[in-house]
Formats: sequence, C-alpha cells, structure tokens
Amino acid sequence: MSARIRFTLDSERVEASPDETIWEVARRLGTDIPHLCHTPEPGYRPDGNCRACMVEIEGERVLAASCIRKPAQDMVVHTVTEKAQRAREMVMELLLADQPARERSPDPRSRFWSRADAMGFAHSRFPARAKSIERDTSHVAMTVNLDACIHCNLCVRACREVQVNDVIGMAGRGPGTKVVFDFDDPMGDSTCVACGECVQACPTGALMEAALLDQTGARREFADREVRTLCPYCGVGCQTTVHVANDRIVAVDGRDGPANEQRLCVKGRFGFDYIDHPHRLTRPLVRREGAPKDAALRLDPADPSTHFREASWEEALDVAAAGLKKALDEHGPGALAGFGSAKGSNEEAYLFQKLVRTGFRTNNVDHCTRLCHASSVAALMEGIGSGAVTAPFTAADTADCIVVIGARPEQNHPVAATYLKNAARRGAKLIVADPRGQGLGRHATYDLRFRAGTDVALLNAMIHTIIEEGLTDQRYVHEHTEGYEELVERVASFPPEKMADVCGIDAGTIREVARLYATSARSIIFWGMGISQSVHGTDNARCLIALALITGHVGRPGTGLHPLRGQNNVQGASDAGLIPMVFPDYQPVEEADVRRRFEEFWGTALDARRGLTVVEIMHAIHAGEVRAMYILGENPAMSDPDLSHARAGLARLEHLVVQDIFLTETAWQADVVLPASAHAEKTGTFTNTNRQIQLAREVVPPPGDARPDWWITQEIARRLGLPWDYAHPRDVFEEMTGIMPSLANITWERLEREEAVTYPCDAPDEAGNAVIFGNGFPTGNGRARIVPADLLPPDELPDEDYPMILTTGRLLEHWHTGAMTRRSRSLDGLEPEAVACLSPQDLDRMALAPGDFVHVSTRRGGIDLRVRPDGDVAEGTVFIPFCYTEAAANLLTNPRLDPFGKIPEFKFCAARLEPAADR
Amino acid sequence: MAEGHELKAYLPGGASGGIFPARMADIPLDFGTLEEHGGFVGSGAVIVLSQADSIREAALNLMRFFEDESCGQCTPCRVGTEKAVNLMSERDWDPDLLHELSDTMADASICGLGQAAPNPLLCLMKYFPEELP
Repeated sequence: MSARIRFTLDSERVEASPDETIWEVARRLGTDIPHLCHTPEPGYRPDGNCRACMVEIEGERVLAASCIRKPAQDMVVHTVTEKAQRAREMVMELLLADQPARERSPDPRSRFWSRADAMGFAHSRFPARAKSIERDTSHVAMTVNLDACIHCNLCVRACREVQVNDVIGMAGRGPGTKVVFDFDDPMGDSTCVACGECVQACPTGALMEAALLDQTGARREFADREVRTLCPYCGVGCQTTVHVANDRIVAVDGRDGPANEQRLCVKGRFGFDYIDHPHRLTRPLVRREGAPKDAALRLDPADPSTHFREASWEEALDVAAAGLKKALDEHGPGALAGFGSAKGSNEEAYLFQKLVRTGFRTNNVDHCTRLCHASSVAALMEGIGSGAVTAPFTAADTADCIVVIGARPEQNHPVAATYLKNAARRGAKLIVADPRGQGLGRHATYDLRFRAGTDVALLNAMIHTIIEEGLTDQRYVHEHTEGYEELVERVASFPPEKMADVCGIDAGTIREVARLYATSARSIIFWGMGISQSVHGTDNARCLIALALITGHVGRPGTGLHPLRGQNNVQGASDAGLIPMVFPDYQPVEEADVRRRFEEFWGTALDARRGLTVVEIMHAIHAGEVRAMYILGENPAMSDPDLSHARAGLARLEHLVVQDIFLTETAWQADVVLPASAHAEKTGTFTNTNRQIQLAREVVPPPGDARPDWWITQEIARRLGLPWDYAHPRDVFEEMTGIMPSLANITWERLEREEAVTYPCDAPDEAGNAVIFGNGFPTGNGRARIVPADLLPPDELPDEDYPMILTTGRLLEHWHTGAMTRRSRSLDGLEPEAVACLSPQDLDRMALAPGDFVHVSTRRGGIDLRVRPDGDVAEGTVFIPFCYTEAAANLLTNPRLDPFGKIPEFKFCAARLEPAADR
Repeated sequence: MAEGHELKAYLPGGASGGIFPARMADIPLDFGTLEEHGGFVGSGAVIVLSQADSIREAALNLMRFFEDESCGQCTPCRVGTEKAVNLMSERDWDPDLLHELSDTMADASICGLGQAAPNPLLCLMKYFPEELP
C-alpha cells in the first residue's frame, strides 16, 4: 500500500506520497526551487542533470537534485542552506556564461532568462566558450540555435519519451556534448516529423519556431495575448494555447487537454497560418451573368473576378435564398440538398441540419462522415446500438494488447499515436495490421502487412482460431450478446490454414495474433479508413466488433472499440444530425414517434423518409432530381470519388450556394459564395473522437466581411421564412440540450469552466463516462448483436488493362482536400507537390527514377504526378494522397458504395501507371 | 626517484586523489587517511613529481583530462571542467572564483568524476601557493 512518507522540509514536518519527489512536495507547499532541465508538464520524467534544483539533506556528503530525489521516512531536507543556494547560483552562472547576448538570443523571454531574472543574474564571471555551432535553418518550421543550448535534455525526452519519435539524441561528451537529429543530420533532412514538442519543451529557445525569429536568429515576434482554444484539424481534439500579436496568430502551443496533455503534431503547431492566406474570401460573391459552369473548369482562387463579382451581404444572401426557394417552390423538397461540415462546430452542424429539415423540408443532408466512417457507424449501430467509441484512445494506457488495423495514426492522428507508442514502451503488445507498412510497426509485436481487400479473411480466421481453441469469454457471450451461434457456423469455413493464402499472412502468425488478442487481460481495437472505405467496410467493422464481443474486450478499462474519427468535429456533427437517416442523437427519421417528438420540438412538419447520402446526391443531380444545394465547408469537388462525375453534377445544379473560407474546387461551380469564418475566428463546441466535448474560442476576428457560419446559416433560414433568433452559439447549444439526451448534464457554462466534458455524463458535478457499455448495450434487449461477415472481393480488381491497385489517403502534413494545409507556409513547404508512392521494386521494374513524372489512370480518369519510392507500399500498389488539386486522386477512385454505410471504395481500385513527360 | 630528481609532490590515487607535497609523503596510503587533507586513495596509482615539474601545469593537465573524460550529463562537471581549464589557463587567476566553482563541482556533480575533478586544483591552491600566478 502507499504509505505516506513523513519527513522534514525546511524545519517543517511534511507528508509525501511515495511517488512524489522533494521538488514536487516543495512546490505543492509553495516553495519554488529553481529548475531548468525539469518540467512539471505531463509525460516528462525528471532527469536531474542541470543541477539547478540542488537541496541539502542532513547526513549526506553531497547535495541532492530535488527534482529526481524522493524523500525517505524522517529525512531532513533543507532547500535554503548556503551550500545549496551557492550551488544553484553557480549552475546558473556557468550556463549563463555561454548564452548568446540576451538581445540577440532566440528567446529573451525564455524560461531560462526568466529564471536568471528571478535569481538576479544578468552576467557571468566566467569566460564564454569559443562558439563553433552554426545555426541550422534547414527546417521550414523550426530553427536550431545550439549556441543557446544548455544540454538539459528536455528535447531528447520530448522526442523519445513523450512523442516517441526517436529523432533527437545527445551526441558527443563533455563540453562537446551536442543535440543531434538522427546521425547529426540537419534538422530539415532528418526523419523529424515536426511535432514541435522539442520547441515547446526547450527552456532557452535553442529550438524555436522559425516564424518567431528574424534573419539573424533573434526573436522578433512577441505575443500580446493568449487564447485557450482547440486545434482545427483532426478528431484527436488537442487543446491549444494560441499566441496572438496584433490580432494575428504567431504561435501555437499544446495545452493540457484530456486528449493531448500538451502534445501537438505538425499541423496543430505550425499549420495555423492558412487563415492569413491571401486567397481568403472576404466579400460575398455572386456568379457573373453568363459565367459558364463546367466540370473541367479551373478557377484561380486568387482571382475569383473572372467568374464572380463582389456583392453586399444583403444581396448575396437574398440571391442565395431565392435560388433555394425557387427550387423548393417549383420542384418540391426533394429538389434540395445540403452538405454540412465536420469542420464546423456542433452548433453550426445542428443549425445546418435544422435548416435543411425544417427549411428545405427534406432529409437530404449529409457530410463527410459518409466518406470516412459511415460503414463503421453502420456496423456499430447495428451491433452495439451506438456509433461512438466505447473508450478513449488514452485507454491504451491501461491496455495489455492494442490492435491497430487499417489506420495510420502516426500520420492521421499523430497525437493519439503517441499514446499508443507510450503504451508499447510500457510493455503493452501492439498488433499493427495494414497492407501498407508504417512507422508504428517499429513498436509492434506483430506488423501484419496483409493483402489489400482481404480484411474479412484475416479477421474471420482470427475469430475462427479464438472459437476453435476455446479462447472465447463464454460468460460474456452468454450474458451480453446474441448471434454467437451464427458466427460459429459462419467462421467454421475460415480456418487460418485456408485463409493464409487469401490474406498473405501465414496461419501460424494468424493464430498467434488471435491468441494474443483473446488471452490478454485487456485488449483494445483501433481502426481507421483502411477498414471503412471499402464496399465491404461494414463487414470489416462487423468482424472487429465480433472479435471484441466474443472475448469480452468491451466496457472495461483498457478494452474497447475505437474507430479513430477523422475530422475535428465529425463525432459532433454526426451527433448533431448531419446524417440523412437520423435526427440529432441518431434518432431515426423513419420512426413515427421520434419524428413526432422532433416535429413538436421544432414546431413544423418533417420529411418522413430518409434522405440521400453524399454520393447518392451526386447521382440524383445527374438524374435531374436534386436541383439546388447549399454546401457549407465541404469540398465534394475534391473529396468525392470519381470527381469528373461529381464535378459535372455540381456544374449541373441550377443553384449552388457555397459557404467557405476559400474559393474551393466546389465553389468554382457556385452561384453564390459566402465568405465564412475559420476555426480560429469563431466560438463553439466540438466533439472529438473520445466523445469529449470541448470549447473553442474566437482567437482573432474574421477578415474583411467574413462572418461566423452560424450567423450565415441563420440569415439564409430567415430568408426561407424560419423565425430564427439565435444571438450566440450558446443559445444553439442550449436548444440542442433540450432534444439530445447525450448532452445531459453538460451546459455551456460547464464547458467554459471545465474546458472538456465527456459524454455520456451522469451528473452536472461528475466527470463523464470515458469507458462505456460495461453493463449492457443501448439496444432493444441490452445485448450486443454479433453479425457474421462473408468474404467478398473488392469491387474492381486489377486486370490486364489496369494491373495495379490504387489506394488513396492522407499525408501527415496535409489535411483532407488540402484547402487549409496547402495554404500553410510550413505544411506546404514540407510536402509541396503531388506524389504517387510506389515500392522501390516497382520503380525498378518500370525503370523509373524517384521524381519522374508518371501518368496514373483508372477507368474514370487520369492524372500526372511525380513518383516517390516508398518501402511501405506493397509491390503492385500505388498510393496517392488526395489533397493535391493539381493531381486530384479522386479523379481516379471508384464510386461503388458499401451497401450499408454508403461509403465509397477509396482504398481499392484498378489502375495503370505509365511514364509521362515532365510538366 | 630517478637520478637528479628529488620528490617534490605526489598524487596518491590517480588523477582525482589530490596532489600533496613531499613533506606529506608519510601519510599511510589507505582508505580514510587522505580525506582530511583534501584527497583520497582513489585508484592507488601513485604518481610522483620532481623539482623539474610544474605542479600548476600538472593540475591544468589533470583538469583537461577531466574535461575530456566528463560525460557531459550534468552542468557542474560538463561546464565546470571546461570553465576551470579556461580559468587555469589564464595569466591571472581568480582564486575565489576557482574555489566557488570547485565547491559546486564537488557538491553538485552527479558522479564521482565531477565531484573529485577539482581535487588537484584545490590541492595546488592549498599546498603550492608559490606556484600560483
């Protein structure tokens, strides 16, 4: 048991818990002991190397570093003896001797200089070392100035232990000790992933945001205020502190949120500047009379004037609403549709679906959830009655076995990946399964690169093994599930020995992995788009759910099912009802009782039929059914499969209203473009992949005439005759709490106070439930339903004409369709150009050199781009990120849908690759 | 001693055991006997110096050795040895500063290398003041 330690600190009798250091006890009791190499931030191990925190312990010959020393029973510790103080001051003076002059230093307001100020040091009596280390400006986002380095090792711990990227090391010895990247490479040439954790940890500015420095490496930017808000990018939902100077963001730091504990990735830390890009829309635009619409049209986002003219808000809103109303009056509600956005707030998503349902009077409302996890949600709703995760990704911390399948969290959920790597370092067994290799595999016990499209073969073989070898949790199966017998029957024909040839993983390994997952005390599964973006995506997810259910790995700490949600608010936007089949909180539109409740709540009659999904809406435009659309913050002209078809659909619309921050590819076909606000320019709540609802605050005002999205949607609603009168997002949130049981006990005021609350939450003064379904499921009978899956091939297999497999996805540095990140100096500087990634073997076979141009084509289209050798890509496969407008990968992808989730098969189609001339 | 050389000073225990004048050559070479004088038996590798040697040069050489041997982990040793070499190479010395530095190296270094590194310097200042600049 954890007995309290009693000891004497500065003549006072004090108590400590067994894991507390002397420094921590002193701080808790209000004594500030100097410290440089130590940081009390979460995740940082004390190292005791700078010796600025020395204290005297009676009976000991030498002083002790209080940051690393734990008190023992009856120890007598003095923090203010002459000896201790002299040593601390001498350490400071020694380090100060070698610092660059403060006014020329990379950060005169660094923690080091603040400490020097506090200790009354401005000068050192020691001679400075002869300097020989050149400033390293090889990285676009960070500058390394080792003259300011005090060798405190915080950057090493940041890189190796907190973010587990293993790039930074300490080389050499003695006074020649030096921070190095990889094998002493320039930072920009190293394997650094630019998370910037080292920059945040560095106490001197030796590692610094490049944008804050002038040409000589001295700091020129100083913030005049800070705002606590959220990262705009992925579903991890990192809390941030944004530093602002003259209403312009100059830097971003990680904040101690439940999902990130101060960590960030390259996008969150360095990708904030897109909001200042000259392409920002600042005035409403109306399409010029006679300006043609055409799928092949390419506009210059820097100059909309070729096809648009500026208009007042009054005029633009009138034109926008009139076109929608005309379609409604002439053709009825079915002629209208809306795409909301998972990048907007919960309030904006709620208002948007409310507008479509009560103003357009149709359920034709969807958003990009359709393109990412629709099949996962379909399987989860069917299986366990809830589409959200059963446990946060931080549950990896207590897991013994972690499965990551069809996901590349190091690229797409980088901060979540750090928790998985932390767990692997702690000793948890990591199983990575993906046709494409990844860095996470380095930390894995098993790295299964199975054949693309054979997920069900691999997973059913695992289920077969678990059942055959008696590794199921029969009590759990009996008490909490149904459908087990059908599963047993179905997987009987999936022995690993038979599936090995199908999926490319040998039977022995499949069995070992199945045993590891089943017999570990706590196992958790994470998955991503590799599972979901397939015509059998729902089946893939069903297999994962079955795995968890037959082994009872749900509902306990360290166990669960976690589809890693993509967009920063895709969970919240889905919860808020941006889905054609359901009202807010997944309440089916086709159930009469549910509909009556919403009709009463919104005071209007509602469409009784489910609406169309994203790709279905595109088909409906071509069929002449949908004639007018309102698209808020979505970019289907880049994100939909088979873009030529999608763009032709958008061009065919009689009326298209686009609300965005840039003239996106979708806006090229718009009749009215409404300039909206970026994430940093508005206030609202956002729900991350962990079901944590968090508050984002307005950091800077929107540029020019740009307005918050909720305001614009309300103006359109009013023009369609809806009596809306929301004065602030908090009014919208309050309305949502009135109809969404998931928001019980969560108020705007509480979010302002606590910054984050997990739903579901049982009481206003209790934390939300992080791990759910420990005691049954929200299904009719409380049981989870096991649904067996069959092995079906991908829709379009390689053949003689198109012999390769094309798979698409994202890059660490770019977000979704690139609208934001391609306009960030740092991010686009890191990955500036479209690439097709191929195995080095394929490059050799085709006699291609890295950087050569190739023409990649499928039955739907072709693009030209450079090739990049990539050992992670399997032979016969080409991977293309879909963020590059100049070589849009989705011109190639297959629009065939999963029958349940209606999600397209972005991860697999047949392609051909030929050398192409340089552009 | 070799012919023509007289014992001037000796190092009782390798590089870090201190430097003592010939008049103190009768201290038993054992644990616990040298500590009160600012040294220790260390490795027991005795080094003798004659009138032909400069104790100051020897002390500087030893400090350079410690600078080279320092692993670089903690400030008092990494920076301390380097600064000590620097100060000891100067024409004029600041004995107070060297004493302060030595104290911190001895009290606050992580391991014995940094803690004992000032011993030769301290012995030089204590037993061979005539050699100081």
